Amino acid sequence: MTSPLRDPAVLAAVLDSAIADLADIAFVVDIEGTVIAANKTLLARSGLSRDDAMGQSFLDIIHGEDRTITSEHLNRALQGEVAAFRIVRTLNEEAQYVSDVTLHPVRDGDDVVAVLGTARDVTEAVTVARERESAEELLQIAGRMAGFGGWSMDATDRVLRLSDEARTILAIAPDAEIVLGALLDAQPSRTRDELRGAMRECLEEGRGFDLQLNIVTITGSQVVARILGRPERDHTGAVARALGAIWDVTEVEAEKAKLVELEERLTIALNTISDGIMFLDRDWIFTFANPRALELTGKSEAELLGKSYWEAFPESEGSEWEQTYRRALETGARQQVRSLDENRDTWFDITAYPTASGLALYVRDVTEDELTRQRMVANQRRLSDQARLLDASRDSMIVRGLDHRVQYWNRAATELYGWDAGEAIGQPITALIFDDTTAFDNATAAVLRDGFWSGALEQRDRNGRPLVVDSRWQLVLDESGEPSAIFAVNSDITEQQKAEEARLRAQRMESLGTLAGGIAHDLNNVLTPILMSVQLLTRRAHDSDERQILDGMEAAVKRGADMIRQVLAFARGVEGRRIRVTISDLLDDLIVYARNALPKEITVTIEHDVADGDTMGDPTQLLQVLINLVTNAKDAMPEGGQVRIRARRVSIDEQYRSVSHSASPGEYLTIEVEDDGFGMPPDVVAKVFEPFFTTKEPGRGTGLGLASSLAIVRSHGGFMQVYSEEGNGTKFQVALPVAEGGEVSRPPEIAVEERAPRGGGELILVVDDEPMIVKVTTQTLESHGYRVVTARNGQEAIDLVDRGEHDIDLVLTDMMMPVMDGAAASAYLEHHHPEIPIVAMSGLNSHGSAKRAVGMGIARFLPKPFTTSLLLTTVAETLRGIPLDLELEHEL
Amino acid sequence: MALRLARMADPEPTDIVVLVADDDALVRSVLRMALASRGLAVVESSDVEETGRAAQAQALHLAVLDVNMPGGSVLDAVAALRASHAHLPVLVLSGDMSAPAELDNADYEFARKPIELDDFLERVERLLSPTRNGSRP
Repeated sequence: MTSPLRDPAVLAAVLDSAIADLADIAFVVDIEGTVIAANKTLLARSGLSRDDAMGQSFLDIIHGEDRTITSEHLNRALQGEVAAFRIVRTLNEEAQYVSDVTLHPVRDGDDVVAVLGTARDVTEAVTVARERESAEELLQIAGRMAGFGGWSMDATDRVLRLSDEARTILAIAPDAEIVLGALLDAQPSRTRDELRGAMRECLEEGRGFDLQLNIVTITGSQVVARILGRPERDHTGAVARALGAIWDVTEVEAEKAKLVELEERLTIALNTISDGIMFLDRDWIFTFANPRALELTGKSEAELLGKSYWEAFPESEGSEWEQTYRRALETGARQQVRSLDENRDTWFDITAYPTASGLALYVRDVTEDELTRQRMVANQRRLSDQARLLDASRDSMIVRGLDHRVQYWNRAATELYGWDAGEAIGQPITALIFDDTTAFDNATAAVLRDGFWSGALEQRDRNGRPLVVDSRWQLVLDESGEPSAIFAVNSDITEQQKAEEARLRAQRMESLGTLAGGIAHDLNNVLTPILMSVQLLTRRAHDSDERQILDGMEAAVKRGADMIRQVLAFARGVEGRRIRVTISDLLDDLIVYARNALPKEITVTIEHDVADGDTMGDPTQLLQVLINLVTNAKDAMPEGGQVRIRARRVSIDEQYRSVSHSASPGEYLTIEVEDDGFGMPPDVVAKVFEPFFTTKEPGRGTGLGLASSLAIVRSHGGFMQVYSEEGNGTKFQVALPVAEGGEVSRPPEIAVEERAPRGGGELILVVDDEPMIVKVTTQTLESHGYRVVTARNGQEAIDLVDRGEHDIDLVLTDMMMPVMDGAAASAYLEHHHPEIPIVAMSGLNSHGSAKRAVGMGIARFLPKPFTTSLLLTTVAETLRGIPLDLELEHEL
Repeated sequence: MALRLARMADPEPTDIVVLVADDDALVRSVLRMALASRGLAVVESSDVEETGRAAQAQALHLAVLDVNMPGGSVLDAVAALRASHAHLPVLVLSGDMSAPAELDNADYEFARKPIELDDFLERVERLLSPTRNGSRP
């Protein structure tokens, strides 16, 4: 029977319908190679219509490039083989068209009646495969570069396959056989167990793994390897093999281990240090706080870490802390702040160290430290307050050890004794301020016995000046109650004691005065009949012997009466004139006396800064006082020396009043007479003004001179003082109240008239070769009631007197003149005109020349320069015949 | 002694009477002698009361008073004298340095003891001179 497929049309229809819906290109060609069936895919791809395709030669409708290979395989299919081939056609530079073509012979019996062809477009599949290959290759390259290796193990044969890089990691040569057992045996047991377990789980249970293991290579070196594994399944879902990667992390691991170790160490350090550490990043977030920091801040880690500064410490916004941290961040420099956290009642000392990531805060609790410091500051302040108080004290305060060495010495002590604290501390107190230690030793014994002592002590200052102090001593005990030091408070009572002594002296003087005054009064009554009787007898006495006896009696009575007068002057005061006396005039008169009365071995210097100061008084009495002082000075310097006379103006205040002889406060003119003679011991100084007290040998002094002087000065409202140092000299001071209103403008004529007697028209011959002196002298005399004629030298004077034209009452002549000097002229006049008194003026002022001049018939001696008052007094007294008495009363 | 001195003075007696008032008898007798030498009659008193009585008893031309007498002050004594002799010259003698302050406003002469004979007699003469010239107080 003939098969219906033999009919080409039937065959074509059958095959056409069979291939019509295939997704791949499908077609049927007959044995002639003519297309007898083509499905839609073919038509769509080729762009041919069914009619165009049918009946065409298959080779004609395919791409020219594919015809050769297609023809070749078509012939094989026509001969009964299934021919499969791939067409790869390059479409452009980037793209290819790849198609797998299969040609199946269609048989009818043994004959091939047609060929069924299918063509599948595999362009995409091929590209993917190629890309995969390419990626694997890249992975290989990357693995080599990064130390990645690949491995795989088949599930069935369990053979390990390794990439080149994996071999390198495991030190297996590229061509060497991999012996898994040997490799595993070389591993440490833990590594081996883990590897085996992981691999088994992967292959049998399909579980992946990621291990980091210490691997020993077959050469014996240690490697830390990370091994990743995953299963790969076949189409049935069974694990066909395991594959993965391996890479060497030895160095990374070492680094990591180092870091870990460092971090651990750091953490341990941070956690164990006793101070707080906190890290604050640049966003002000806390990243770390050690336990101490948590403890100090009172926060838990949760409250702190990850929180911003302001979240953690809202109360600290804008605080000194914050400002400090900000400054550290801004400047990059370490900042420190110490401040009281009032919320925690804690003083924190925080150092902020700028770091790469922010700030490390090093927090210390310095509360104790701060309290100690504050206590110290308070202590120091208290001590310095106390020291200030001690220093402010007017009493000197001294602490000395039991060895009597000074431990403390306040400012008042420095002022009192002259040693400053630096000099005094460490020195024995006895050497510093005690001369005689008897009283000191007794007081020390008392304070050690009783714990306290008080009394007056005699001490001295640095310069040896004697001091009297009221001293209170307190024994200082140490903590164990043992005596450790002596605290002494000394008040200087030297001045008070002086004042007290002065007061007692004044009282004593007053008593003496009262007593002496009473006796003197009675004595005068006693002397009265004696004196009068003697004088009555004298009148009747004719015998010269009798008269001589009576004269002696009279002289003795008068001397007694004079003493009584001085005692009374002392006791009751003296009366006298009260006229304005210029101190400088008084001093002029004094110097005249002094230069004439003192031997040449004694020099007199005078200085006065009293600007024409006046006092109201009796010039004669005051001069007597000063002469008395100068005479005493002379007597104190038998070998010669210097007398210094100094006048000053002083103010006496209330305080001074108490230490002097009843001086009232006010302005005084003082005259000091100072000698450098033998001085007086203090006990003599204390009595020097007392009546009948004398240092002179019996019969040489009445002991009334200074008492009388004091009486005179007191009667003038003044006072006297004495200062004496044995061996160095004595200084007496006379102070007289300043006469009010007279200092500035004192009309000299009126003042002179008050004191100096005016002339009554007497004619005075003034002889001098210096016209100026003649002129001044003439004016002075004429303005005081005298008439004057003049001569230029001794010869002119003699001629004028001899001519008899003038009835000359007195000659006032210079001693040093040309032609004929004063001495020669005086001698002539003495001889030829003895009735005319002569007053000699001279600049010579030595004691001898004055005496000599007076002896040459010269009535008076007027030393130049002279004051107006001295001139007028001298002239007046000479005219009245009052004899010159240089020996005024000036006994001490 | 006093009598002998008085005789030695050999004065020409007058009727001028001087009162010497002093509590010291020795002083009184010496002053009496001195005054008698000038022919003056002397009466004496030794205290203030006696002084007053003496003044009342007779006419006086001068009183020499000691400043210190029993029975009152010198002012009392002067008052006692002037009670009967309003313008009697008075010479006050004092052993003190100065005149007593209570006599500041009184009319009197003051002299210190001891007083020299010549000085005393000169003062007495001067105080008596109005009397001697006939103008009796």
